[in-house]
Amino acid sequence: MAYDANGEVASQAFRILGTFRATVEAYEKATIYVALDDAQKFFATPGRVTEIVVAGTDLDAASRTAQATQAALGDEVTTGRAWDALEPLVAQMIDVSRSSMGIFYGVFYLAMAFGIANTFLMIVHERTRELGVLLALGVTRGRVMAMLLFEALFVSAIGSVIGGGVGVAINIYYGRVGMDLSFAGQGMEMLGLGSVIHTFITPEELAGAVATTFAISIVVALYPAWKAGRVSPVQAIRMQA
Amino acid sequence: MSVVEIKGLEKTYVNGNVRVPALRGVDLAIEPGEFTVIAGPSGSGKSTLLNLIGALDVPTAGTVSIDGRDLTTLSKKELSELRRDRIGFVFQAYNLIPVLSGVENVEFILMIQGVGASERAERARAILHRVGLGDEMDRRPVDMSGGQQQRVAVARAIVSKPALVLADEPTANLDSATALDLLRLMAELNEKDGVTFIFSSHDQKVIDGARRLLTLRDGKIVEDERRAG
Repeated sequence: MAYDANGEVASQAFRILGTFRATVEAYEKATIYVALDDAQKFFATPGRVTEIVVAGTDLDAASRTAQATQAALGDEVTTGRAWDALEPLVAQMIDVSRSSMGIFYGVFYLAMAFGIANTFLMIVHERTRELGVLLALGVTRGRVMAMLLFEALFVSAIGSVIGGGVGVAINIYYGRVGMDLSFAGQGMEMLGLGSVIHTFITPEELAGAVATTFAISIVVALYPAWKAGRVSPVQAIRMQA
Repeated sequence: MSVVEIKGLEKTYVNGNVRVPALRGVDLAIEPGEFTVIAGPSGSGKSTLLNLIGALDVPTAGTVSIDGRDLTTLSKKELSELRRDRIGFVFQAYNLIPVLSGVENVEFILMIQGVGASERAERARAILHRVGLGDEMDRRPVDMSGGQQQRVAVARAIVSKPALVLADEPTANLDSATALDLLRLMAELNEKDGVTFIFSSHDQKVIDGARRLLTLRDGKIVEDERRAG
């Protein structure tokens, strides 16, 4: 039973042919699917539809798609709106989430930078004697620095390949199996999301993460490399083995 | 021309407000082919003098010239190149690169001089045979005795035919027999190949083998004795 387009009470019996499961339980409770003709008769709107939904894969292209759809259908469509205009709360949550992820990445990369710098400072400290011997034997300070930087380059390359590979493997696994967040299911549903998240990563995101890691490794290795070049050969060769 | 020429050499270490003079005006000339030992008590300035001759440290005053080149006028890069090409070092603690085998340690010097792979392998093996390490040259330092490691260090010091070899307490970590063997080897290299050696030592065996004995006390040369070979 519902009001039709003329404000009259309309009622009709429908036979249930099947049920469906949605990722969000609230959606299941509030939604029924009927044939378009039946719905138009029920609501007294013959030949009319109230909403056309165009599904896409690029969130940021939604506005352009909405405009293009409206332009293509001409006067038949009164208002073309993108998803973020229809669901401003979700759009805002996604913006907040992106900002949060930016901060998270910043903290993560900062911690990583300190870790790498610490590792290479330890390498320089542990090899002070060897570095001093190299300098005493006539290896130039520039070459000692270059040696340390090359080592950083090599370690970063290996780390990036292994890290990237493991990351992609985990991503593919949770992309197929899904990450069950049902312990936070109600909170997720409030955002219109299901409790199982399927992850994915684009080649651009992967390349960006690997390139950033690689670049940070090289930049933070500059200071340990500079310290390596400043080792005093006189003091270093007197150190106990 | 002297291999080493030192004029008015002074070195003072500054530790906070404390100034410790290590050398107080040293004048010295070392000729090619000399076998010189710098002796003296601890703190007399032996190692400091050797470090200054080896371009590892800079003097407070005075000049050091190697092959006629005044070290005080050279840049850090030029000093590195001079050490690489003209000076060999033998350290008390051997100071071989632990991850390289004996032959690789010797090759290393030739590698940084830009010598090709096959030539440096050939030269390194030849010099290691010369110092009596024919069978052990492919071992890493950890698998060698102290005497063997010091022989590798001597081979490393002479493989590029430097103008002089500086040996700072080379026998200090060796037992008497091994030390004597090493000294005989270096004396032989001096006599037959004309390698110029400068030692710093207070080991009596080294002092006894000197052809020229410089005695340092309180940063000054107090005795310069030349002995018949």
